[in-house]
Amino acid sequence: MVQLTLPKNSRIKTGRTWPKPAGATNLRKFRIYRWSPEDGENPRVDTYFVDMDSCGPMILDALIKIKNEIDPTLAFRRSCREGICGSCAMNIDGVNTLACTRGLDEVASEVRVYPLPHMPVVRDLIPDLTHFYAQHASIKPWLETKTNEPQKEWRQSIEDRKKLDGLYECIMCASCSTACPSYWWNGDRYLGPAALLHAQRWIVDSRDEATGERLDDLEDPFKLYRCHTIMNCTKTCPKGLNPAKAIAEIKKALVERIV
Amino acid sequence: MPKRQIRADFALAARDFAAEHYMEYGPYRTGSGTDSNERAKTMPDVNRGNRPLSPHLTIYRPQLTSMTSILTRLTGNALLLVALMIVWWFLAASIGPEYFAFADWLITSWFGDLVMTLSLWALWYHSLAGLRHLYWDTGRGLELETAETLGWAVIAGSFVLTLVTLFFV
Repeated sequence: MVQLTLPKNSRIKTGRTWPKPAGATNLRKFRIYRWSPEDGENPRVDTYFVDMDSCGPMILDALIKIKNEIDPTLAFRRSCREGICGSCAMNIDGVNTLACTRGLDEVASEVRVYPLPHMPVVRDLIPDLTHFYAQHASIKPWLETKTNEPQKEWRQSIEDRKKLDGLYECIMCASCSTACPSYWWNGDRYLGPAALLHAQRWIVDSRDEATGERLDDLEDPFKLYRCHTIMNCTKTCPKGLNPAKAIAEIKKALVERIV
Repeated sequence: MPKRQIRADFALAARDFAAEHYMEYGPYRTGSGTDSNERAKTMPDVNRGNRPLSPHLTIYRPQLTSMTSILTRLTGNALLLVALMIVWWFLAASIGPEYFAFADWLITSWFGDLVMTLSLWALWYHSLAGLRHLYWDTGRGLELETAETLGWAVIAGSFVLTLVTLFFV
């Protein structure tokens, strides 16, 4: 349900300001969400100053620089540093995106970094994505077939393959789902834009033979129909995909099969 | 290993993953889960400890599409209240002349005029936003630029039509 305020243990306290690097002239201020499971304290927002003359161009470069040179306890996920693994998704300058593909020149001079919104925090910028992954698994993200397997591969025409464009590129970074107010309030039962985009990827796959069952599974007031076309998902997707449109296509398919 | 075997192994592994991770969450398995207690039991509370909830509404930057969406709800709910107020106006007329005089005075006072003018705007806004939803429901107009243009059109249209209604109707 809608709960506008944060629970007591989640309210953000004033954090500490870390010392400025010595001798640096071109400083930039970073305000970063911190929480550790060890000290029993509430979350806080710490302030860091980074020397821009010796920093790479991306938000992730600055985070790694902070971890290397100022505060080794700062925790965040990162891996590929080129927008394909989806690990470093976080809320930067008020919107969800990947730290590795968002440039330092694209955000306000004071850089505010929070974990993905409305998620349980494991530590600092690391959200617990267990539920998110389970929702993805629940839409059966694999090819379901009933006919006998062909000798070689399952054939698909070029036109049918084209229908997967804009869907298969999703890297499951969770930026869209955690940007969605409907997912914030009903994330326990609403599947969210990411899982639904994946559902549509298998619904439109010409080789899949469980389209009817897939649609049956989604015909539910919460799983699918909590989408109210708010479109925060599409607006925030770091891969430029359109989950809102994918969801609209599922809704349309559900209507089309009964009319 | 033959390709078919690899594919079969992969499918089995994925099914095991789903069984392990989502079967414990009843609602996805059964498609029910309307009982909140039942849901509480099936929420992934396992080993979460005292994990805080990350901030959401207070840190997320308002977007044009999210603002036009919440305004659709707000105007819809406000219009319901105004509809009740108009019913009360009629009801007052059926109760007696003195009571009607009071209701009529309130509704035609400056305060009543303000409420009615805002409601007029809300009615136009809500109707236009509803049309935009109808268009979206056909699967069209969902590209980001189109959706945002439609958003601005709804906002501008609601003000223009309010002024037209106020001064020309």
